[in-house]
Amino acid sequence: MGYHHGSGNRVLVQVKVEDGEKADAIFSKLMGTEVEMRKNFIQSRAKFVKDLDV
Amino acid sequence: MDERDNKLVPTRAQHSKLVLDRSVEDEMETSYLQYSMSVIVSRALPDVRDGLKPVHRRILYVMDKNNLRAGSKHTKSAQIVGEVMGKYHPHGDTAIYDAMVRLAQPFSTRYPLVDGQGNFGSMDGDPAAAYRVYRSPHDPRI
Repeated sequence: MGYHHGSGNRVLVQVKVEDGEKADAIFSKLMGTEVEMRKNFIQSRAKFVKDLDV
Repeated sequence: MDERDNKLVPTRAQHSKLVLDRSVEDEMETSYLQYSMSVIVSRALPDVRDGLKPVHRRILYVMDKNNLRAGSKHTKSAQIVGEVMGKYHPHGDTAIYDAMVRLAQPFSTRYPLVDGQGNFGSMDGDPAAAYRVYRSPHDPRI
């Protein structure tokens, strides 16, 4: 969290897929058709979000 | 993956001293949460204090700044939408216009904060006319 923005502070992130099945599950959870999982995900973590970009 | 032959893609050395290694699971979870919370807080949820979303508050703010209060002359909607979009609300013009139209519909809000002149839609779902025509000063009750 919070490693982006500001031209002087750019950071390169190398994203790796280590476990295809796990990755697939995350994508389905966050971007799939089932809303409930996504809702639970957001609700359970909303409190811990820092540096909200608003 | 470090061997990149496309010269347009900067190498690690050119790009940044710091390269974070992250798993796609981590990246997705944090970024997705950031993004969704940002959207929820800054766009989707009405404020519990006044029932307004940021877009509505920005519209009323611009109208107030331009002395558009109850009893003042009507102004073209495009003028308000343009200023809201240019100064405060970096989103589409139709979203802003639709939000303003809603504030003018007596069947949508009990005490409309905007007084529309012209076709602002009806309860049957007829859309308001395109915004080159319309106008709106607002109510003092805020």
